[in-house]
Amino acid sequence: MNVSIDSKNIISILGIETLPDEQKLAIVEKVTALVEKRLLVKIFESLDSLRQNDFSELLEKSDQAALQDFLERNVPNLNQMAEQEITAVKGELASFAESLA
Amino acid sequence: MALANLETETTNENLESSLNTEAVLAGVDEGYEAVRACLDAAEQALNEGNKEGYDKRVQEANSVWEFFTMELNQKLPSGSEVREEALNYCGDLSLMIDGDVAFMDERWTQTQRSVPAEKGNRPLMDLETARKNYAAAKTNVESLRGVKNLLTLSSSSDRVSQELSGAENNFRNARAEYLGASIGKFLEEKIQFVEAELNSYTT
Repeated sequence: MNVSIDSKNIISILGIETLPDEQKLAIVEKVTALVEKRLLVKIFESLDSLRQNDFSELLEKSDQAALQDFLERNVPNLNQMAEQEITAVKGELASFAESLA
Repeated sequence: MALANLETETTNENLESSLNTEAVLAGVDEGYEAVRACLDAAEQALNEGNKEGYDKRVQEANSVWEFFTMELNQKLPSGSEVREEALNYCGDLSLMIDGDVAFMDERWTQTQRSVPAEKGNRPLMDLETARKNYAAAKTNVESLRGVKNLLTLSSSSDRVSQELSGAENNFRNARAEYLGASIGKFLEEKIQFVEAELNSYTT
């Protein structure tokens, strides 16, 4: 599952514009990984136990087409959930960066 | 501030009588502290294998010290006891600075003999190194800001302004690296936490 994050926005929020590009990329990759994993948890939480097992099996198989089909049928508000997670992670990072300033 | 007193007093007509040896030597200590901060930053750069950064910091240290001693030389009345004492003290400190630089140069040479230089991407700096670099850069920039403020009456303050500009730039970079390392660690901890949560569904 791919989540699209506005990397420029994240870099600006964190105040790390002057970091070398590869270090900025490393941070953005970690942010993306965090959002993806948290979104997966949210998806699991939204499913009943039977569908949780199905979803788990599909994740193990890494069958992208089947996963997409499953999500379209069982998680109609996926985009909204993704937006919420991105916003939440950005907010947490902003607070953390502010605490360091 | 001791050096500020010196600055004010050197503009006074009754210069020699108003100079206080203790205050002047305290002023020298302040100048040395600014140099020491540059050398600490140089050592950090050396520890990271950043020879370019090391050379830059050593050059900064030498420039600050050269400038400082030149100012002192010009401002203290010739033939006075306080001048002789201050310059002797500066001489001792110069030897310490030269010794430190020589020691670090030798360390770098030894490293080059035993380990070939690595190429490739720089990962996120580890938090402790980033924190130390940040602290050293902060001390350096604050010291130089202090030196600049103390020398605002001097026509030579342009040179310190240049040094300060370089130090400010270094400070911004060190701060960004510290932020990057801290945020990297923060994210890793969050990821570990959410992975544990995720495992409860997938295993």
